[in-house]
Amino acid sequence: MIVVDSRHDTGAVPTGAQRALRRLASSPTALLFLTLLVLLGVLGFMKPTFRTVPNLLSTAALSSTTFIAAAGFTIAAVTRVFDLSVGATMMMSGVVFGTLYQAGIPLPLAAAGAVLVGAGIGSVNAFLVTKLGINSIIATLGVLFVLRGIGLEVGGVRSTQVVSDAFRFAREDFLEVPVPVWCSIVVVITTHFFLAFTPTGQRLRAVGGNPEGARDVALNVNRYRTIALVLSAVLAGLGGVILASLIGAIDPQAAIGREILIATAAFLGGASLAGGRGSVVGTLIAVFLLASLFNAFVQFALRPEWIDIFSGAILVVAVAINQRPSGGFR
Amino acid sequence: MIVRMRAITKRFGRVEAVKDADLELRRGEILGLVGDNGAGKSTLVKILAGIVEADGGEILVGGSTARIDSAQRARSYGIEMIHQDLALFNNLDVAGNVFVGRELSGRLLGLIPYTKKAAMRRRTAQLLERLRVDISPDAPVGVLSGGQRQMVAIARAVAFESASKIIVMDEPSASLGPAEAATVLELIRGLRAHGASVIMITHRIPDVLDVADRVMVLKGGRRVAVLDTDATTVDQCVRVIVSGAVEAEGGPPAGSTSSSHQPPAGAGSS
Repeated sequence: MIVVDSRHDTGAVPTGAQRALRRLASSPTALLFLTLLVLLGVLGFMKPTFRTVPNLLSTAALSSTTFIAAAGFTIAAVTRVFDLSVGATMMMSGVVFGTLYQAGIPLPLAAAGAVLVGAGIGSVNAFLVTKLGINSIIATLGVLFVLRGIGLEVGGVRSTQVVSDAFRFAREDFLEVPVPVWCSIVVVITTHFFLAFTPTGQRLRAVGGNPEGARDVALNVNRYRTIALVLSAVLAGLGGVILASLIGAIDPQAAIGREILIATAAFLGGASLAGGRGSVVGTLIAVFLLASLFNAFVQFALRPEWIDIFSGAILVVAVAINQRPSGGFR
Repeated sequence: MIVRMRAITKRFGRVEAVKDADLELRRGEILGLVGDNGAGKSTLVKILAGIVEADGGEILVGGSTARIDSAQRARSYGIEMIHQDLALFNNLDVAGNVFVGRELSGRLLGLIPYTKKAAMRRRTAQLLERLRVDISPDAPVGVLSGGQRQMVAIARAVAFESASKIIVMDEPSASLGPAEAATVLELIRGLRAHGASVIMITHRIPDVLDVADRVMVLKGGRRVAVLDTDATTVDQCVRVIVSGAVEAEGGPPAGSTSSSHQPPAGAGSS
């Protein structure tokens, strides 16, 4: 009797731990974070070098460019526009950055020019989507190939080293933390604030969640789609600048195929093809999770083909989970 | 008269959805708008709400000519439309839905805009209390029932006080069960009590006779009758909808008026 009673009591009044568990189960971001911790724990147990701070920081630094572009992709996905040109935009901005710098333009101006080129690419995407009414996935896929072609046509297939310590600023540390990690921290704070706490961020979510409804309540849907696509390309441009600095070269083949990794991270982080959902914090965790996984592939000497197989499988699974009407992992 | 629509015409390709239609809404009344499918009800109110642009005709709000070419413009005249699909955002909470597009915001350091979430939540709670609706401002709209969703849409329409509040509702009770429909109708009466003027499209004749002051009947894009609900039965109303004419004997209830601009009985659908 007593046993039955106590069970009954536990069911009726959930303890703090149970409530915390329930909240965890209903938050995709928290679940993702837990998955990351478990993965890092397992990997660190199997290979002690894995759990060292320098290894974690280097993983973070190497994946920072992916995250910065993925933050932009997430903002667009929340608005129900999908920017597949992010990888090619990273490449193009990086090429512009290096070319301008080598032409003698001061570093900050060269970087600003490269990000501006990103904004221009975003404006083209926005024109195709809002004025010509082309589905964003198709429009940005077309732009992806056009940019790749231009990059190869102008820059050739070989990368050109930029021999300059200033250009390779992204390889430096600041307070013992790599510069790209600092950039990621700034991007995650500003983009999260933007999406969660500004009127524009709120409207992007409304437009993504119900575009027809947004029109009915007098929101200018095309305006917000334009904002989202331009922001996506600007962040990809910033990622491209940092990537070029990390590589230390003008590389028209940089970031090839990166859009798949970026999209996977955004969907794994909570974005949905149905729009209206997504979190840059979730995307950040997802990027780090994927980077740790691929790092493990290298450390355990698995064949690189497996990275592609895994990336593709995770993308499909992440989209499948998040397109359920209830969303998330519930 | 708070709204007067005169000789409104609208074509969609070869279909004439609204033909030379008139509509008058008195201040502080509930006007029912009834008619068969394709009678032009939705098109006519969408023209008033700035969703559809008329090909011809004139709209007066508060006695002066109004140029309504967008939902934004309609709002500036105090006209709020509640769509049949409600235009709610399942991914936002109740407060987010009420304030969408008109968020309360401040500026951090006088520069960076931010939404005043706590203030919006508080204002939403006050609004729902005034409407006697028991929904939490924090509730995600995706989990609400059909009636609760209708109430959130109504709350949004009345959230922003304006001198001449005109609320246009497309089928507010269509998808609701009897109990929820009754609650929503009560809410609509409450709006009138607070001074709003309401146009309500519905297929539910008993509902409209119950809640409205007058009922306007459309057929084939034209106004064929305006009936006084106090003196009209459901049967009479249905007969006008079907025939497009107010009957000569035993039919026209006292106080009802066949539109003076319209041709005589039966000509409406030709």
